[in-house]
Amino acid sequence: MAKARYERVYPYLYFFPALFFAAIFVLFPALQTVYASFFYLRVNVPSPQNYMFVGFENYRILFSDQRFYNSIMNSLIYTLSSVFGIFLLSLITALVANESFRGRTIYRACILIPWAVANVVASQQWKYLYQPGFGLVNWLLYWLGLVSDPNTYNLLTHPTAAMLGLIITNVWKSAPFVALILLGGLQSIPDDFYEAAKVDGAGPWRRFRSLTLPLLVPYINIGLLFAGLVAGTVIDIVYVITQGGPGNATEVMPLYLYRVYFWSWDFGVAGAFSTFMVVFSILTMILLIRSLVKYLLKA
Amino acid sequence: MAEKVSRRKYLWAVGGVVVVAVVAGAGYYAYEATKPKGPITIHQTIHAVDPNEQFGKMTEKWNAAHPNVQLVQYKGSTTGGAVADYHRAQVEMAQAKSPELDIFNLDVIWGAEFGENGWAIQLDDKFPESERADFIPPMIDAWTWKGHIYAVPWMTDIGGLWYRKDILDDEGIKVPAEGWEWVEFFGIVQDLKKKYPDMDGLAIDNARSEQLLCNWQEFLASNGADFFDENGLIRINDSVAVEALQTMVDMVQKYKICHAATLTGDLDIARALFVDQGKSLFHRNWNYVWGTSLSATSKVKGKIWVGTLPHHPGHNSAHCNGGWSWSISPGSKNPEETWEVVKFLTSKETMKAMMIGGGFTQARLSLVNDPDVAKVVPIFPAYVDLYKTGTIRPKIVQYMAVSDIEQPYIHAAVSGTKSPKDALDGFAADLSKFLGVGISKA
Repeated sequence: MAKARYERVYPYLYFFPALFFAAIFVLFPALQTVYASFFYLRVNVPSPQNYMFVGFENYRILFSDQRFYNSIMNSLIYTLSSVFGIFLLSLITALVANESFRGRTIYRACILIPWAVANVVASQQWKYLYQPGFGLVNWLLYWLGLVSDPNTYNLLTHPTAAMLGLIITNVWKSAPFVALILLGGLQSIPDDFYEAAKVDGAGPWRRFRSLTLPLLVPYINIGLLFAGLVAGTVIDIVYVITQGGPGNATEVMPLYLYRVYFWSWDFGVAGAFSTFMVVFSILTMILLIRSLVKYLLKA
Repeated sequence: MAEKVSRRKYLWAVGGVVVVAVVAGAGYYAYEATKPKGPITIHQTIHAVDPNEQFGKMTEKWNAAHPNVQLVQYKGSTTGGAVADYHRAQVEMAQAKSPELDIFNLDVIWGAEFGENGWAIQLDDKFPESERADFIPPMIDAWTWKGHIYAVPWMTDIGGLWYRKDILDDEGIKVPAEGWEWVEFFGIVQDLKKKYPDMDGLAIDNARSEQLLCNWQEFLASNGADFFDENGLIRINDSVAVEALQTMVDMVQKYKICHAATLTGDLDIARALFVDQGKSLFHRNWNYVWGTSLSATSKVKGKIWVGTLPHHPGHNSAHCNGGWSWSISPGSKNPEETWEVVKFLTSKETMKAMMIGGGFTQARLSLVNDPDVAKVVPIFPAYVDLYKTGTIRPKIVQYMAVSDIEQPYIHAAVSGTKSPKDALDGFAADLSKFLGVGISKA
């Protein structure tokens, strides 16, 4: 029997508002950005060349910029290292939260505290932790014998140490959410599986390696995708803690893109940069998903 | 089998969408109703920091006297990296000729940009030469572009060497009127640090930001170096400039007289070290330090003064000119009323009241000799002395872009990750590419 008109329209009423806002605030600006990338568009220079079609010239300018490649390298280091650190910390956190012990409820509630703190606030706090003299990190390094004078050593002035400081901040901030995803995965594994494995003589490590990890792969997949996306689009943590310094040693792609937009006001090259970033991120995600799905099917 | 949708459910869904739209609309109108009433509302941007709430008091005074022209502010942070966002927000409004903002609060380095792009109304007839004569000359210069004036100076900034007068008096040390030479100054600080081991030598903000470039401008100009030569070619990497940057690097890396967080902390950390903690012998900062030194949290009330910055041998000292001005948006629907507000804010009476109340240093020269101001701000003549050897950052339309290119090079040099020669050669090459200007071979 043919559906009444209102029956056909009814489902669309539910997602039309979201679709409307997504089109206005996401799709339209995205298409406009790609469009702008093919034009000369210097907002703060009243030039007759403005709005002139230049083809792929903006892309040529971008790809001949050494600072652009520096930002890609920094982003890759930051993202891959963060994802690795987040995976380790979130897995350990989730495994502990999955055990039965006194205070487990409080432990589970506390997991989310770093996640709940606003990024800018957390970044400022970590910046103070890294400062010489009154920063706790310096005193910890001194206690470990890695630093001779905690009052003068400033790790944010050393390129490698500064990048490590940013990664640690991001891992601390993002691991809780991934830990919750993994905790959900752990709780979905039936206890019978572990009982059967114990009966077959499997020890704790064997049970973890052969049972827990493979069954957790779909959740790890989702968690790390999320972690990778968050790390790949970071701007606030870097902006607050190092501003991309020392020099450009920690300037990641989103921060450089922000500067091309709102310091250089070159919307043409910035459009090319944005377009590149979207394509780069999508391709990276596709590669990551495909390799993880392959592993899953093998497992 | 899919659930059959009833007409009732359909009507509930449509009704739900309508209710959401009505509530959103009602919320918007309620928000509009909270805005000050009156036939005309003048919107302006202003610093978030308002020493002793003086600007707030002036706003209340205007609003009380002008019920039909009400003044409303949008506050923005202008410290550290936030000044770029302050700039961005105003450029967006200016570029769109938005009627939502009437008065811009602009830094001296944005004069060429706003003038060239027509983002501020020309004020030649409203602000004639005779009136301009009473304002700090470098600020008038910064806001004059291609023969037209685009803003009225409001709050003035000049970089100076703040010092602990009480300690220097005890040690019998006097800051010379012409300033020490840089290396001589480094030696004096090192000697003082030995006698006062719990004090830092020089609290100075060298983090990667515009502030770093203000400091750099002072080293550069105090060695007779510059960005461009008389033919307009780039000379920022010549031997004189490299020498100037080497001195700046030595201050941090060789003589180690700066506070520990100099390369990563922000300006307020340096100021707090000097004023709120009283833990630094010297401090490089702007005029507002005086006002903060008189506040309840200050540990140096009556113990500090400002002097001439050091210089290189054979050259004069150089003090970076800063400061903020008022300009009128081309999108303003009420330019005449807006001008009346600007006139009020920059009148001698208002500026005097602001200074006496402990607000920012105002840009009128005639206030220097005012006895009432002298009683509360005895340091004002000292600032005016510093203006005599003022230096301004290059007046370029795309100054913000140049600053973004310059900052990482200078920061890399003072951090010790690049030599001064490599840093300035790299900067010169990028600047040449960006501006399309050649590099001088001299």
